[in-house]
Amino acid sequence: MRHPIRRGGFRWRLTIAFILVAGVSAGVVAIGAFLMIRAERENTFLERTLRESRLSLSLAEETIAQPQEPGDVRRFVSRFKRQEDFEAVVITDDDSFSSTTAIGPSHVPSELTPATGPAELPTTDIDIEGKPHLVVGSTLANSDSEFYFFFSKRHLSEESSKLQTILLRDWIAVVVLSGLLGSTLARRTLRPVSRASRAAQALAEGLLDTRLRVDTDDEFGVWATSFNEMADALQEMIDALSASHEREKRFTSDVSHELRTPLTALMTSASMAKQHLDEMGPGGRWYAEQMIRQATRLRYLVEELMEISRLDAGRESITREPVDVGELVDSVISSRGWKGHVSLHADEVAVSTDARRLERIIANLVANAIDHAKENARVHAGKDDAHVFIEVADDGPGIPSEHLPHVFDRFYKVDPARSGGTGLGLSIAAENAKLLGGTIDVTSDPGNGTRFVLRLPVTGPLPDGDHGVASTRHSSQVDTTRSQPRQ
Amino acid sequence: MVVMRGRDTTSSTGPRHRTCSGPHPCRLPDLVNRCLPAGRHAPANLCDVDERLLLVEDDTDIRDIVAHALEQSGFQVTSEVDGRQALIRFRQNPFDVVVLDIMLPSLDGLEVCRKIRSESEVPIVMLTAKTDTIDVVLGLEAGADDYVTKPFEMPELFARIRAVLRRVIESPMGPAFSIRGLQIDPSAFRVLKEGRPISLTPTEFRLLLELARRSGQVLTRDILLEQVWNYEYSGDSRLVDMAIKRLRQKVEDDPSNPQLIQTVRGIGYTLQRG
Repeated sequence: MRHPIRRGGFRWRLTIAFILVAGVSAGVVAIGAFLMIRAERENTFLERTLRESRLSLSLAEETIAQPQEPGDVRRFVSRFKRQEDFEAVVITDDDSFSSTTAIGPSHVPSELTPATGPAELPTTDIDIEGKPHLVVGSTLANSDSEFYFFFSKRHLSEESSKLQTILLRDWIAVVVLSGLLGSTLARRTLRPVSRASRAAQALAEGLLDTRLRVDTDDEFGVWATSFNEMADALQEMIDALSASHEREKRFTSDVSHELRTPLTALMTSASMAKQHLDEMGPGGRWYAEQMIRQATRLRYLVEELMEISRLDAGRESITREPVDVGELVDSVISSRGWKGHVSLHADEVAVSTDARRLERIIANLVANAIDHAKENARVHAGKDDAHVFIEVADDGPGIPSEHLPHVFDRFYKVDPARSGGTGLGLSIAAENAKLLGGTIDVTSDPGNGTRFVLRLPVTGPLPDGDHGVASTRHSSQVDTTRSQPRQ
Repeated sequence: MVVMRGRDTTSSTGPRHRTCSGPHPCRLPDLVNRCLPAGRHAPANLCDVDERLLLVEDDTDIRDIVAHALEQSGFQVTSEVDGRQALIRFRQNPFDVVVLDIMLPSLDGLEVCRKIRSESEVPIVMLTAKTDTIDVVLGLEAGADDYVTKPFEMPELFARIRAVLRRVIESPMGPAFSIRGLQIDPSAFRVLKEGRPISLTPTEFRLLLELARRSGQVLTRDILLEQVWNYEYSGDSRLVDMAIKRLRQKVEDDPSNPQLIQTVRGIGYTLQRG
């Protein structure tokens, strides 16, 4: 299972931190630079305006004769018409002159008191129709006329906003770059972590030879080494376990095969002895009967061991064919002489599966139910959306919940005092169910019985017309006393 | 009386006469009795000629016990340990039935079975060590008529031997008839395909007869197991499948594309009337 990286993850946080650090520091630098440059510019501008104003005042002193002639003043003012961003307004006692129509005496700020000489010139900032201007005011020494010079700050504010734009653009670039850099760096830094995560996943999925590359000797290198050591240990352990499991399986298989030959000799003799029981004396007969019974028990045990070892070997094949489930359950029950012990309710269900294995599962579940039932075992075969199910229930003592997870374990007996059965039946049923792609679930209500449910996947539509199968149910004379040892 | 036996052509004795009395001498009753333990019925009351049985089994204990039990039941048993020896013995003497273990030294049971089958229609019952594996299928494919898995009880083996012998000895009743180019004569155990005789084992013959007599009907494996193999419940349906396969090899023009004996998927087999 892959775990997606969520927001708020380490990489995310690292990227955000990078952006914050770069953004804040670049922002501080940019704002500082901006303020400094703007102050410097304004200073320069101010000096220039004062210089220009003084120059103009001294010019006025020279060109405007006393007493004033309006013509002189008009000439003086008109010189400014050629100057861009530099206008003059002269207010005499009875008149006023302006170098431009846009600016007149009304624009002179009232708070500005004109200086009496060019030494200390007062300045004021004003807005004329939204455009910032610096106004310098002064009078001449020998006249009452007031001279005001208007300097447009257009250039200054244009420069300042241009500077602002450049700095903002650069700042954004720095933030984006730092974000990318942060993300890349984070990814690179965290690469060993994601590699390790993938490796751990692979290990979990069973690829036990997965190892991490150790290409640095930093913390991650050490970590990778430890990870690999852990994987080595894990692999060794699992190898050892599976080897011992293999040995165990082989042992089971060998033992059951080796047992088979003497057991066959024993069974054949025992079955012949059974035929001669009548000829034995009462003392000998009892022992012979015991021996026959135990030989039979041993036979079932060995057969089931063999079956388990075949299932373990995983070489069992399945032969699918359409199977009428109700029919099969019915034949399992009648052929084993269980009619009186089982109540059967079967819906019309067909499934494509291996009939022999299904029969084995049903027989084992029903045998188990009969073994534990107080009165009757109940079997219900039916079908829901995706499964064919066979439910086998008994009304016996039930299974305490702590035993429930183990009922399919080999040789597991809930009540060790009970001697019936080999302890392999349910485990064989479960293995066969697995082979057919099905499951067996068990639920139990202590005191009221246990319920096993076998579910098989419905493997697609089956050809209808199982009428021929039904005709097998004629089953001539039901001879349930006949031994059915083949199963 | 018709008795099919191995190597009839070379048999020096030929069909043997039995001294039983009754309308059907040496048919079912004595065979059933002979499969009961000896001592419960005096052999003298039944037959004085025993069925000749070849037992091939490598394990000494099993061989001794099984041979003893079979002899007690009135079979005339010849035991062999080794596959090659068994084949030589089979070629020297006629036998009515062969009981053959699969795992044998020198020549394995499957090979012995195949060789015997290529020379004779004698009934063969296999003793197999494995129930669910390919062994059973291979044995049936090699021509065995039935099998018993180890460990087995003697009545089980008796029942299987009795059933295969019954197929040989009990001749089916009824007049000869023809179906789809096959002329079947039940009482003579004979089948002609377009005039030429076909050599069938008793099992194959009974199987064909069962299908032919109820042609047009679908016969389930269970019915065939009951009618031909005398299983009442839960016989191995592979017995039927493999015998059908062998039968098709002999009666179909193209066994890989059978026209005569059709499989009805999930149900059984049918011989179409044509």
